[in-house]
Amino acid sequence: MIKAVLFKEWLKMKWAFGGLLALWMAVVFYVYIEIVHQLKFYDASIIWYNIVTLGYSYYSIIFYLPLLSGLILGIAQFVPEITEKRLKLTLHLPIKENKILFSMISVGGLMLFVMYLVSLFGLIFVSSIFFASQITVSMLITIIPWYFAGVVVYFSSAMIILEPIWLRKILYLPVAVGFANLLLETGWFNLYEKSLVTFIVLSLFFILSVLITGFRFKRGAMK
Amino acid sequence: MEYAVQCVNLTHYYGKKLIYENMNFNIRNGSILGLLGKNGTGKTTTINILNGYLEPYSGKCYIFGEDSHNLSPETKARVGFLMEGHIQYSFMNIYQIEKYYSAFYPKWKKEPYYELMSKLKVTPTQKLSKMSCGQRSQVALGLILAQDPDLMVLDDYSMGLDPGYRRLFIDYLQEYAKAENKTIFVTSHIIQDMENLIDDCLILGYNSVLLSMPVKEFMNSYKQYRFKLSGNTEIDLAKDEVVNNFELVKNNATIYSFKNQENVESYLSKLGVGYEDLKEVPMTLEDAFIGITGKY
Repeated sequence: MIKAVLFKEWLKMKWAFGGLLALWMAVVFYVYIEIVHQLKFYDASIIWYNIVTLGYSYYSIIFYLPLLSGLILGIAQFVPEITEKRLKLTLHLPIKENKILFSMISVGGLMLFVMYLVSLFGLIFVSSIFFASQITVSMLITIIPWYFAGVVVYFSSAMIILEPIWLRKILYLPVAVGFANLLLETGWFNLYEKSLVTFIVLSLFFILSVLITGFRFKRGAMK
Repeated sequence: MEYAVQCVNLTHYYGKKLIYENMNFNIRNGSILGLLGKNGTGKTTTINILNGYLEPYSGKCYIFGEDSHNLSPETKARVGFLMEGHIQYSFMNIYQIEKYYSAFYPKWKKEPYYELMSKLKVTPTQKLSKMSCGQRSQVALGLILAQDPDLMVLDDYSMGLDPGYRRLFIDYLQEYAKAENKTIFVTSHIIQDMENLIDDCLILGYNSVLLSMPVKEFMNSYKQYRFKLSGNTEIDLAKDEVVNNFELVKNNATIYSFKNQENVESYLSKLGVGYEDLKEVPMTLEDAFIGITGKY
């Protein structure tokens, strides 16, 4: 059963997933080229000063990329489901509704995770070539909230797309944007050092929101 | 008597608009019930309530004894559902969609599906979105047949189909239902197709059920009488125990009634309506449907 869900979700999302993965790899490569370029034209001490004292982030190009990934995956996965109310077909399958909805968002979450993993390995690798491990760790603490903003956007877009009532869609939007924005407050490094775990836990609560609007769709909620 | 479907005191509103009030109907195991009605009378609403996609204002539906809003996976596996417009996963081709659904249904039989697919002129990689409406209808039907459900719920199967595909759909459905003793709940706008398919009919009007009875009984008891008015041609006969519907074009009048000719003639005489050439006119199910629901 899980294999079948994976198969269907893959058919819907393969182009979005492939395109985004290629974009992530291109961006990681760009970060590498950019550092090489900087080192060619500037003295290493200036780059060190820029990073440590001025807070220059050589990876800031990825700032909106997790957000974009979450949004595109959410749209690619759930717009075909609500087009002509096809989700009814899924909910008619002989499985508990929460199980099938959870399987679907697990597949989307897995795709996002794979993308994140590839990009994180790439960024850690690139950073480790040029910088001390403390800078790489600091980069991770800075960018992980951005990645979780992408997770929030993925689950929120699923929640909003599945919601049957337009007024509620509009009401959910500022909640999702507001929370994602908290994770994107600034590109200044180490900002979330103390609050990272709290934000991660809160982000995961958005998974439940998909189940709630999925159930609202199922029972044909009219208000 | 065992029922596959029982709907009890269903009432539904969209906002303040009443769709129907306290509607009751049952579907016997192994029978075919046609839900008929004009646009906007609540056919799809009923299908949605029955499938648990819509909560009624009040009342309950039961499928194989289970509340339709809380069906167990085992009961869901016994119900085949055709969505209005033959909606399916249009991003799949005929092999992908068969492979996908087969993983969910324990009694899956791919043979009837591929038998139907062999009649379609589609390429193996052709996605459903690139097929004609008729071809998509056959894919949707084939998937339901492969599921081998005990109850089939078909919402307006005839939508967008040309006569050939409609006939193909009906032929397969009829053969399957009779051979396997399946229960079918079907809605359609093409009443003429229903005549030889359904055992019982439920006709919805605006806000109420107009009729619920076996088709044979309906066709035997419901009559159409035509006559010419010979006198006052500006009469209007209201619905009562004799007149079910009355139509008048110039001086050509039609009465639809469950009463025999003798009763109708004495009724007209009693009212002092002048008439001539009153005769019973044979009806198809479509004529009878129009008689019950009216042309407007």
